[in-house]
Amino acid sequence: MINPRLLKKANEWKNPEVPSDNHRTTIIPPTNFNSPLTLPDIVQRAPRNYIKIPQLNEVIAVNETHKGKDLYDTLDAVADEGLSSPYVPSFMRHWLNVKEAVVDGKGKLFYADGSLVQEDITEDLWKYLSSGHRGGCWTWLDALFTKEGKEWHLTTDLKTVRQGKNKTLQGNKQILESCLREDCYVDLSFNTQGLATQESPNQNYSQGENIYLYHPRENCVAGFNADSDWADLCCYRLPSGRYGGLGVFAVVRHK
Amino acid sequence: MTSNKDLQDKVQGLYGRLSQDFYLNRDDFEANGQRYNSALLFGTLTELSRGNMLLFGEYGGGKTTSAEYLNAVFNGLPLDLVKRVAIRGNPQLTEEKMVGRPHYGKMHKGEEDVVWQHFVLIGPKIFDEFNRIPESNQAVVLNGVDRGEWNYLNDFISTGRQPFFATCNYADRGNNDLIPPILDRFDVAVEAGFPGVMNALDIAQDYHNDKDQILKNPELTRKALEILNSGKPYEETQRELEVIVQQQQERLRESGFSVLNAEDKAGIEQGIRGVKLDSDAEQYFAFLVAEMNSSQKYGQKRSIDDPEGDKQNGLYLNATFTGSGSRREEKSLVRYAKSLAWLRGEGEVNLDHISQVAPYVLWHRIRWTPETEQVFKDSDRKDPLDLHIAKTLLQEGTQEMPGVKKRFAESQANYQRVIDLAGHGKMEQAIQEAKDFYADGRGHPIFLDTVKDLGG
Repeated sequence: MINPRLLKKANEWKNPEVPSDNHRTTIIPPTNFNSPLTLPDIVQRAPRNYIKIPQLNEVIAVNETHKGKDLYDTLDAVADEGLSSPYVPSFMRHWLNVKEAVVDGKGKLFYADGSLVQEDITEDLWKYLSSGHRGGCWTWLDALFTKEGKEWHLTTDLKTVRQGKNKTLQGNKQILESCLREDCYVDLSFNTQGLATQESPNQNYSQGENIYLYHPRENCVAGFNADSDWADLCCYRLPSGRYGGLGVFAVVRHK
Repeated sequence: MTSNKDLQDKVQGLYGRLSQDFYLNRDDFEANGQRYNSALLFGTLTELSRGNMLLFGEYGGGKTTSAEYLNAVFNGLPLDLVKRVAIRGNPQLTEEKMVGRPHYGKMHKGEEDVVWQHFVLIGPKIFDEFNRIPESNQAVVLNGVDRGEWNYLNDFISTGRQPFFATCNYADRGNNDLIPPILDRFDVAVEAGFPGVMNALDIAQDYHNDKDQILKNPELTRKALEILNSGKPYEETQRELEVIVQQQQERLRESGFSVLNAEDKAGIEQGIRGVKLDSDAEQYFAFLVAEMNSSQKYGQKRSIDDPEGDKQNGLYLNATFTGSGSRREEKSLVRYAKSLAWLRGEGEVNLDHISQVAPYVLWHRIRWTPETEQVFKDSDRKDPLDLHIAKTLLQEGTQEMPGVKKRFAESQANYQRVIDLAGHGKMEQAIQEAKDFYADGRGHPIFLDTVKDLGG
C-alpha cells in the first residue's frame, strides 16, 4: 500500500512538468574505510612494498608496476593480483601524506605490516613523487571522464571489457564534482573526487606547494606524473597509450 | 494583538541587551548571514519554544549565569528569585528535595498532603550541575519537565511546558553519566565557551556583579517566596506570582528592557507554529532522518546493533554512531529551526536554518563510534569534539568522510525525480528508479525508504 503522506508531499514538491525518461546517475558514496582490509597474497608476501593510506584504509605500492602497458592491460594485470588502480583521491591523499611527513614534519608513514617507514626512505619517496628523482614516477589512475549532454561524469572502479579486438572501459559512474576546468598550476586542495578546486597563485612549479593540472577532457582517463620539471595530475590521457615508464601504483581497497 | 514584527523586535531587543550588557561572549553561530552567540541564541529559542536545553562548559564558564539572565528577563522574574529557586545538583538530592515532600504537620495528624518544591511551582527552571545527581533522579526531573506534569504520593499538578536549563560540567570524578534516554529529553545542547580576554576583563572587574542589581528585586523575591511557601493551590499560587511578574516587568521596562507579557508569548507561539519548512529544508530533514534511522544490514538502526555492519554500504551517517534517531529529536529539530526562522523574521525555514540548528540538536544525543572519533580527534577545531563531529558530518563533511548536506546536494536531483514521477502518477517507474538509485544498499537510504512508502 502506498503511504498517503508520501503522495501528499510528492504533490507539494513535484515539478509541474512530467519527468522525461532520461535516467540520472546513481550516486554512490565512498565505501567504508574503517573495517579491516583483506590483503591479497602479493601484499602479504611483501608488505613492505606497500604503504598504508590510513585515512582511507587502503595500502598503495611504493613503486609503479606493470610498466609499458596501456590502461586496459594494466587493469587486467593488477586485478589478477587482487589489486586495483588507485582512485584519484587515494593517490592524492597518499601523495599529501608523504609530503606532510617530509615537508611539513607532520605524521609518519607505515608499511602494510604496520612497521614504520624510515625517515630517509620517506624523503626518498617524496623526491620520487615530486621531482625527477630516480627518473620520476608515472602512473595510471582509476578515473574516466565522460559527458552526456551538458553533464560531466566520472567513472571509477574501471574494468576492461573485451569484445574481439575491441576494448572498452566499464565502471561506476557518478556526476563529476565541480573542479577547475583549465590547465594551470593548482593548490593542494582537492574535492572528494581528488580533483583540484583552486588555482595556485604561483604559476611556476614549487615542489610541495603546487602541482600542474590538466583538467578533465571527454573520454580521457587520469594519471599522475612527476619529473624534473614538475608534478602533474593529468586528466586527458588516452587509455590506449603505452609508454615504457608508465605503470601503476597498485592499491588494495575494499571491494 | 502585537504584530509578529513587533514581537520579533522585542525578542531581538532582549537578546541584544543580554549580549551587550550581561552575558558577554563571542559570536560563534551564523545563520543566513547573521552572527550570534550559540549559548545565548539557543537559550533565547528555548525561552520562545519552552524547550529543554543542556549547557556544557568549564567551571565558572558562565553556564548558569546565562540561564539565569535568560529566565529573569524573558519571564519577568527577579534575578535573585531565579537563583533562589534553581536546584544545585549533588548526589544526595532526593525526589523530596526536588519535586515535593509530605506535609509533615498534616502527616502527624494522619492526613496526607504534598508540599510542592519551589522548583516545581516556579515556571522557568534551572538545574545546576545536573550530572551530579544519579540517573534515577535525573529521570524524575525530566519526566516532570518533559510533560509539564509532576507527581508526588497521590498528588499531581500540571504546570505545562516551561523553559528548562540544565548545566553540566565536563566529565570529572564528581559526575554521573547522562544516559541516552535522558539526553534525548534535551532539545538542544550548547557549550558556554571562553568569552575572550576583553570580555573576561570586563566580567572580572564587575566582581560583585553590580550590573545584576538592575535585574534583582529583594522585596519582590521575598513576596514571591511567601507565595511559594503559602501552601495555596497551584492555580492560586500562579495568579499571585503573575502579579509579582507584572511588577518586575514594570521595573524592567523603566530600565529600558523589552518585556514579554502572557499575550506576547501566546503570539510568539502562534507565530512560530505558522512558520513552514520550505521544500529544501523538508528534503534535507528527510535525508538526515533516513541516514539516522535506516540500516541496509539490520533493517533499521538499533542501539543493540554494531554500526560497523553498515560500513560495507558506504559512509552514511548510520555507520558513524551507535543507536538511532528518535522522534523527540526530530521534533526538537523542527521546533528550534522554526523558532530561529521566526526570530529572523523569515517566513519559512530554509536549508540554512535547519542544517545550522541540526548539530546542536544532535551532538549530545549521538554516541559516535570510536572509529569516527579517531578520524576527528586530531582535527583543528573550535568546538567540543562531539559537536565538531556533528557540525562536520551534518554539513559538507571532509574529503574522506563526506557529510549529509553534501550527499543531499548530490542526490537531491535524483530524489526530486522520484518525487516527480510519483507526483505525476508514474508509480511503477518511480519505484524502479528509486530502486536503481538505492543500488542494493550503496545508494542513499532515502531511496529505500521511498520504495517502501511507494509499496514497492
